[in-house]
Amino acid sequence: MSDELARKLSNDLKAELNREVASVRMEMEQIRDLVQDAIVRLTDSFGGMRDQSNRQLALVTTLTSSMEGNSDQEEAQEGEDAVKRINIRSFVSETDQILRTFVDHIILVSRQSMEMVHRVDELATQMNEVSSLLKDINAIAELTNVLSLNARIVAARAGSSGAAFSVVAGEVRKLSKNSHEFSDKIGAVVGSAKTNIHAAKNIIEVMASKDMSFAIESKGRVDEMMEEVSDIDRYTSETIAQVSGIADELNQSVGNAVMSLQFEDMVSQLSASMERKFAVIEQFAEVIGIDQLTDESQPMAERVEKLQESLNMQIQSFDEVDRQAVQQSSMDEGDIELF
Amino acid sequence: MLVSTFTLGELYLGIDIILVREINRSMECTPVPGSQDYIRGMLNIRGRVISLFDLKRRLGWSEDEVSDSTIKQYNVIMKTRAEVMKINPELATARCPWEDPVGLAVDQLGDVREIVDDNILPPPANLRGIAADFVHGVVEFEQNLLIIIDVAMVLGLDKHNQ
Amino acid sequence: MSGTISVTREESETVINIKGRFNFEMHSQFRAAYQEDTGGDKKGRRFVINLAGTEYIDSSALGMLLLLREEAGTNESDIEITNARPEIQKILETANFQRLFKIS
Repeated sequence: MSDELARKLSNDLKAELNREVASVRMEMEQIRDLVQDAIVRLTDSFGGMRDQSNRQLALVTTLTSSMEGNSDQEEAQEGEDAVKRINIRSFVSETDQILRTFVDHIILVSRQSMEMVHRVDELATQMNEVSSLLKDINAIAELTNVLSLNARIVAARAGSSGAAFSVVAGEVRKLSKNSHEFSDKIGAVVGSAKTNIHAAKNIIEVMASKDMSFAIESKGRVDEMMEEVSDIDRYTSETIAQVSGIADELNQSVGNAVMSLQFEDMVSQLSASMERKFAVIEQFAEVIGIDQLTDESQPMAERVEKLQESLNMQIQSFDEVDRQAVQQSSMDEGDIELF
Repeated sequence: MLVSTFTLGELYLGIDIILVREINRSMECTPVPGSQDYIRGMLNIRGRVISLFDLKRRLGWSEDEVSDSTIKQYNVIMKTRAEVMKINPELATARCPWEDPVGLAVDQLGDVREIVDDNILPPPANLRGIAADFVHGVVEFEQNLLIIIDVAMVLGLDKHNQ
Repeated sequence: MSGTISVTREESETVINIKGRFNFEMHSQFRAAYQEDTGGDKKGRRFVINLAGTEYIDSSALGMLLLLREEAGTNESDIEITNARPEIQKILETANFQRLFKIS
């Protein structure tokens, strides 16, 4: 009866030990799962953080390069397909260029206008020469007229014999009159040419005469803008350099954090080790029993020796498992440092 | 008859061409001190000395009208009685009493006009700028009235008193 | 209201003094001031444009100066613009005249 009781107690003890080991093992597995889960998520989010930081840095770098007034040649080389990077500096310098072109154009127009005025003045002088030549022609016509009248006076004295001469004199007078009319007409044309020349000169004056103060003012404004842009550029460059530095540091920190998360391996190694240790403990529980001590069919000394042997084996097995775990953990620790 | 025409201001005047010796552009003349105001001065044409009458002053025009057009004028030089006599003694006797060379200063020269004697009318009453005494007769021409002047009267010689 | 021009001529130098407003109305005077010293075999003569008394210039004045340079023989020409007041100096600079004339 006592044997039977002892066997039952021994079985109960084993069962309880198994139950507790199982419970601890389950919690240990939960810890392992939780840690693994957390590590996966942390790794993911640190990875995301690193990506975002890298993108941020890339954006800032693009911004910096576009702020650093890329030269015209560079832009030309980029071709039409390249995204045209507009910056304030190139905008201002283009404005300056446009202003320069505009001023050059005005001066060119003025120069040509003044040359035109010289030609027009020469034309006016020539017109005056025509007028004075017309006066000479008129003087001749007038003399011819007087001459023809005198001829007719002489013809009249000769009576009918002078009739033919009188006719000729009349014709000469007509010619003189025609000549006078023609020179009057030419004079009228010359007169209107002079009016036109005068009008043309007025138009040229408007074309040639531009007040230059606008150019000075605009130039001053552009120069001011240039300076302001330089200030802004300088400040922006500084700020961007700082931002870029911070991004680098952030990247470094994220890298460190991600590296630190490699302890997951250790956790799984430790839990594997614990698993093995549980197995050893369970095996021990299977091997050892109170009933062995109370089994009176065997001599007492033999029972104790047997138990002692079991204990020794257990110690040996456990130490073996433990040694493996220690070996592994130290090796892995080295790996992490290297990583 | 043939009439040599010219203008004097707005007036269209004519003289029998037989009485005219020559026509010249106005030239320098030497004033004669103490003479009538209508004697502009003495002309020397090819050695002949001629008394030049300022026709406007002779017709009694105002000083404004006179000085207005003295710049570019012509001189109508008359034949002398002796010269006309050689060509047309009848005319010389009737209308050319002056013996010395004289000239009239006029504005613009006109043409030589052929006039039928029958068309010559007595001067109308409303003639302006010239006294009827100085007018031999008038002829109507299109828009113009040609006034043929009585040179003897203009020169201050009454042919009937001659 | 325009300016006046006076000229002093020496052996190999013509000094053109411009007083008052140097604008379009001055073109005949200005051209007359240099015309007899330019063209033909006159190349290489020195011109001094003295702006000591100049109060104002506009684009037509700039045009006239360019024409003088051209008529004096463009590249061989020796033209100096002197005594311009600061506003006028600025206009000359904006017009890039320092590349074409001696400005002092």
